[in-house]
Amino acid sequence: MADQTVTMRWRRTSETDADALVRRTRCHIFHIAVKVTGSRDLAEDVTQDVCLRLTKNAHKVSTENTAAWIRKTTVRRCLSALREKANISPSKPTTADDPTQDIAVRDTLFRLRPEARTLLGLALGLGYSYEEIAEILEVPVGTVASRLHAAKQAFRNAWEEAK
Amino acid sequence: MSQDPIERLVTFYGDLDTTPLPQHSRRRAPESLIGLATGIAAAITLVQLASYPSPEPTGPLPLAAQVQAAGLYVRRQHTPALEGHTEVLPWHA
Repeated sequence: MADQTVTMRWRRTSETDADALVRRTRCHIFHIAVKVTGSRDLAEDVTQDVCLRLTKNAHKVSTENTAAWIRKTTVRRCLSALREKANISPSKPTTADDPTQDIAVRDTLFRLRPEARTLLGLALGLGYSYEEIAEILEVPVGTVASRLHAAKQAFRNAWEEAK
Repeated sequence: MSQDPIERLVTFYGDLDTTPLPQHSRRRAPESLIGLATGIAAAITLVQLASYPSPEPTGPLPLAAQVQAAGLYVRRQHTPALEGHTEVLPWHA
């Protein structure tokens, strides 16, 4: 009986900790997700998913690596969400996106491949350095530089085609 | 507004509203609520199914049933002792 009480108390404490962690980091997760996806609608889904994962894995995520874990997990979920969306409707923004956005830029962005969009969001939206992006995507820094250059070129090409 | 597409893209990212919606106004319902709704829907479906009358058999009778019916008919036609009886005997009796 005593063991059960201790276990229940430990669970309550863990859940409280996890909830507090999610509350503290939710805005940060959403910020990353919006910048990477360029869509509030997709970012809501990603944030919800990452928060759920954070709650489940709170005991594994130490204080030191929480920020890195959140950044990497959020970007990966963004990439997955963009890929899933690309399979459903490759060139259509979601209806819940902000209507005051620069429509021409948004439409051009939505025509790019998910990998290119993610890179542009990380570099231009969030202002991460090549080293930070390399760490998140687990690729060499040189690869980040070349892929980012290609992504910018793809955006320019799509922009010209849309004119 | 700048005509350089990359500059416009940077401006686009800068203008994005990254303020999350309050948690209570999220579009998706909590999982517990989804589970409850699913349970209620399943219960309603079961009740509806239970209230439907069982369907009448359509089409020809199975062969065994046809043979059995024919046997009863023959026995009743050719066995005078059975005439007038309301009790139906098995065809093989």
